[in-house]
Amino acid sequence: MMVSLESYPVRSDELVWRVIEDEIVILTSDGREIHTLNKVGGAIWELADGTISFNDIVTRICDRFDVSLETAREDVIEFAKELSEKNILQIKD
Amino acid sequence: MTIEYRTGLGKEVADIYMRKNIPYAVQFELTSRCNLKCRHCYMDIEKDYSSELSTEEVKGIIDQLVDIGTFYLGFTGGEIFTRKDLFEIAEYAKKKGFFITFMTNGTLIGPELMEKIEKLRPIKFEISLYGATPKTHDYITKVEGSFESTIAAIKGLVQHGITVTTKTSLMNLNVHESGDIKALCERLGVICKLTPGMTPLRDGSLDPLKYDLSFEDMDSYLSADNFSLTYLAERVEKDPKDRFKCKAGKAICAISSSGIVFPCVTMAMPVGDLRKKSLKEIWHTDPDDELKRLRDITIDDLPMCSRCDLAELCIRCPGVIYLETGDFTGATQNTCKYAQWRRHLKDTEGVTVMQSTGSESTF
Repeated sequence: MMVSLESYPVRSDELVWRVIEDEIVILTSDGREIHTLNKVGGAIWELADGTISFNDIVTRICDRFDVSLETAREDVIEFAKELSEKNILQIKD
Repeated sequence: MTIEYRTGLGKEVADIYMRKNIPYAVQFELTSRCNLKCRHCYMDIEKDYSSELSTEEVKGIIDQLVDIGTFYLGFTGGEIFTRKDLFEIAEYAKKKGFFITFMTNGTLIGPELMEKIEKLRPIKFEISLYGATPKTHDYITKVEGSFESTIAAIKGLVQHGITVTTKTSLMNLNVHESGDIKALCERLGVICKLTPGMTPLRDGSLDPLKYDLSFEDMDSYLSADNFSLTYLAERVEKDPKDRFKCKAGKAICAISSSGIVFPCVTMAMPVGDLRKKSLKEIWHTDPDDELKRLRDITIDDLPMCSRCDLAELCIRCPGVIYLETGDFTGATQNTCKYAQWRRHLKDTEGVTVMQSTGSESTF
């Protein structure tokens, strides 16, 4: 699946996630894998409800954290690809 | 800005949560009502149900479990299907994001409920089964026809694609059917979990122990596979000081039908009342002295067990020991009996702890 700035990320519903001490902890339904995201990754994760595009997510990340638009775009897309490959994030057109 | 992402093995979650005292798995007793009257049941069934948590109170506690970091939520009782609001509660929990487990005797699950259960996609569905025949099962449950209803529910659930695990406490009333129970489960297409051993009543009464297995029962009907030797094999890798580490009061907890918090479902040591304090206060900011003591315990605090030469073959449950002795640092004849039996298997049959196929699970 291509990840573009126009696409919409949505969290897989086959997992459970919790906020623990400012980190997001995600457990897959088979209980085999645990994923941990820091504050920035967690902010993206919380926005990934299927209704907000990566473009809007990048804007919000730039508002909240000290980062340039260009860097945020690259990092967010890279991060989304990684999570998508792990099947914990789905990408919708 | 750095986006950090780490991945690890799911089984690490227990270790991480143990260190942080976060209850990743919680058993929630939704009711103490039950339509069966099992001879060995550890619950002190309350006759007065007026203290049972309301739907809204249960939902409020579920919200607190989200905030505290719980992943696995097991609904147990009593018999959970006696609660008319069970599906409202389960659907609420599902919406809040939990891996849900149902623990039930299955007798009240008619065909009309199957689709509702299927939609909830429980991660586990555990049904108590006490025999391979109506005669044995119904004798233990003291309700005629319960075997038939339980088996009908299992069949319906399997047909709807639900993975069912049957749980059998092996006692001197049913151990002679242990082989037949396994065969029945195979025919039904369910996971069979046989557990030797009895637990005292919540009030400390030792009455159910009269049903516990003798060496003769174990010798006649059970094999090495029935004695959790794989679990012990995994434990051999650990530092002997960590041998008796238990998740109770740290990474797991239990909540009663009236909102009392326990370190685990077995250890009936009340550590707080959710009608008076929040879970966060009870568990993190203001834990009571006994809970703190339980968390701080090391092998050096176990005067008998730390020096015992059966230690490597012992599955020491602080909850059972608490029920039997009133303190979780002691030892009980009953626990020692099973360690002695494993030693016997090792010595007489050459069984090593590496040869078994048994397993331990979250609940």
